[in-house]
Amino acid sequence: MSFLIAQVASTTPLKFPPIEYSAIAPELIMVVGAIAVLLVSSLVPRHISKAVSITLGSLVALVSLADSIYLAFQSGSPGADKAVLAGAVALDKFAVFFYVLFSIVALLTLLAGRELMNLDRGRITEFVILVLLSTSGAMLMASALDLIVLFLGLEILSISLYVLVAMESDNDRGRESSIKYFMLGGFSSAIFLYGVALVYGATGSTNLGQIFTFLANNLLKSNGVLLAGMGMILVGLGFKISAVPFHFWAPDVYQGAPSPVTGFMAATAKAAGFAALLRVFYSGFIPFQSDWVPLIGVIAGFTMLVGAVLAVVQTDVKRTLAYSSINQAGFILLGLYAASARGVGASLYFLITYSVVIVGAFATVGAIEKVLGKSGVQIEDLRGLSKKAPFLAFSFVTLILAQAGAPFTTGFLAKFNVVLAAVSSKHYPVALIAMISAAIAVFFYLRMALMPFRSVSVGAESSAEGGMSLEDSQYGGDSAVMVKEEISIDAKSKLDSATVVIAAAVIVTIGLGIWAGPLISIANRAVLLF
Amino acid sequence: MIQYLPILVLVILATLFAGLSIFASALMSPKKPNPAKSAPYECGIIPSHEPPERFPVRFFLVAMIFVVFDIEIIFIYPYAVISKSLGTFGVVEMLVFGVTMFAAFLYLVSNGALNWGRIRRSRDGDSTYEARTSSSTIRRVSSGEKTAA
Repeated sequence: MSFLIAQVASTTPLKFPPIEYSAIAPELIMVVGAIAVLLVSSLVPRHISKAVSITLGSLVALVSLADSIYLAFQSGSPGADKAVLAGAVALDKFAVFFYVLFSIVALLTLLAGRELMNLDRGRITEFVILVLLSTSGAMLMASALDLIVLFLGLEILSISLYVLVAMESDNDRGRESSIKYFMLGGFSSAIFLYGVALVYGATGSTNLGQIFTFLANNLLKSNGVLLAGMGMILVGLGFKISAVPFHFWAPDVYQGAPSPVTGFMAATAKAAGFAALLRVFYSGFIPFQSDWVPLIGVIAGFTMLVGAVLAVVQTDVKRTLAYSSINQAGFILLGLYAASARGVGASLYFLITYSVVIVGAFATVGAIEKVLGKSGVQIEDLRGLSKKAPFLAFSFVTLILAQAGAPFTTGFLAKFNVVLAAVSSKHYPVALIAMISAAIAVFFYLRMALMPFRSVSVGAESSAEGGMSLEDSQYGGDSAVMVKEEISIDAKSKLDSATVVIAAAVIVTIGLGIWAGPLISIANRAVLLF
Repeated sequence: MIQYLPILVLVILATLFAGLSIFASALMSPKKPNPAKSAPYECGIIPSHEPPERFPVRFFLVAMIFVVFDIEIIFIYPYAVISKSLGTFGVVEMLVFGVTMFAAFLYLVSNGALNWGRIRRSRDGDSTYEARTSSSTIRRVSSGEKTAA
């Protein structure tokens, strides 16, 4: 007590670590930008506040993207990779890679959400702010070198997401899935934190660099505490990336959340989880490689198989995409399982292509929902889409085929590279499971991809039980007129921002699938600090 | 054990007083029943308006605003204690923190968190209890349209 009083009475200035603001500039831009959006939207007249907040939010994401790209060019010079903020945050090519990825996803989400979020005027500001803040948390996760900072990022990311999922006020399913996500997310955060505590107990530090040094230089007499801590961290992050057996929340939440939010969640939250997983296990726990690598292999195998098999029996498009994203998570884990630089590069390439594809795919689903005028699209509802909305049908099919790994899309090289990395690390059984699951997955991908080209009349009976109302059957006689009207609606709404997002995703997916060299070399160069 | 004696005495006295009161009122009170008195839940005056009105839960928002400032205070107190050792850095950090908080408050206010809305007065003739007499206790519940106007 007297020590405390003496401490208080003394005026000796505390020593602060030097802070390099430029290293965490993308996070800062996101946070400051979010507050600026908050301020400006509350000061401008109400009728323009929606347009102002969306425009300003997109601008913030754009500035963050520009700064991330600037950092990426900076990090090309030797010695640019370093730990900053007293070793708590890394500024390396890996972190910068994710800065760029998260900025792009935030920008796409904001543009898609402008059209596709069913929000009243005041709420759209909150949507923008939460997306920006959530992205800043994801960036912090990707660059954290300290487990506590990592947890901070995880919480910033997750808490914003819980709210985003329940954003639409007339969407009961969204609220239900928000509660589910919140409960399971809370559990996983707690488990993660307990793991951090155990790792701290075993190694005496929460800093990944110091954990690595300790583990490399000391032989632990009994490593139970450390292994339990590692396992719990794996479980906590496994929830975020929806790896089997921690995947149960994913289908419900993906289905219930508004489509742009689902795309954001599937891209950002998953990529952030993988960034953290790669960073923690490669930077910190690599001396215990022989303990965690087999575990990752088992999880990867089960994730790929369960995701592919359960997707086959789904009837809802978003639910199918959710299982497909579980399947994809297994492939990304495969790169981690390879435990080589090649594997990390393959995982990162998979992540960036998958993020673009999934944001585009869910934006497309949102746009299809809008065209069909209902929330929740069954696979049967896609019948005749190629006539009703040719652009949407084309984009949907492209993005689905990219997920299936069709050649001339980014998805092909992504899958090929991770499997190749696993094979070159001599992990044949899991590589085999990967190929089998990819074959199973092709079935449901093709089922979804072919549905827009089927004619409505053939499936009129089967889609009647899928919720066709009396009106539909009444107007069934003059359906030609209906189709014509809907084409004109589609043509009119051609140039909204959601269309831009979808088109960008399609162009990137096909363009970088054919001209693949640059992106692969970027992903391969995005190595960790240590 | 002896310490508990006063409590025991108090318990006995309280029981005696309550028992005696009930007994005395039963013995000495005048008994002149009338229909209004005998009606269930009788308590004197027939209400002219339906008491359970709908009311906006505005206080919830005000409570949320309170939480915002509550959290701010939680951080300001420790800062105030060691402000000298924190120096300029601390001042800047607290300023950043304060601005953030203020932005949130401004957003709340601009979204009408402090608007209490139009005060609604119940007008004459708005009674929902016209049918209620001392002999009938049937409550007529209004449709809600009338009071909302």
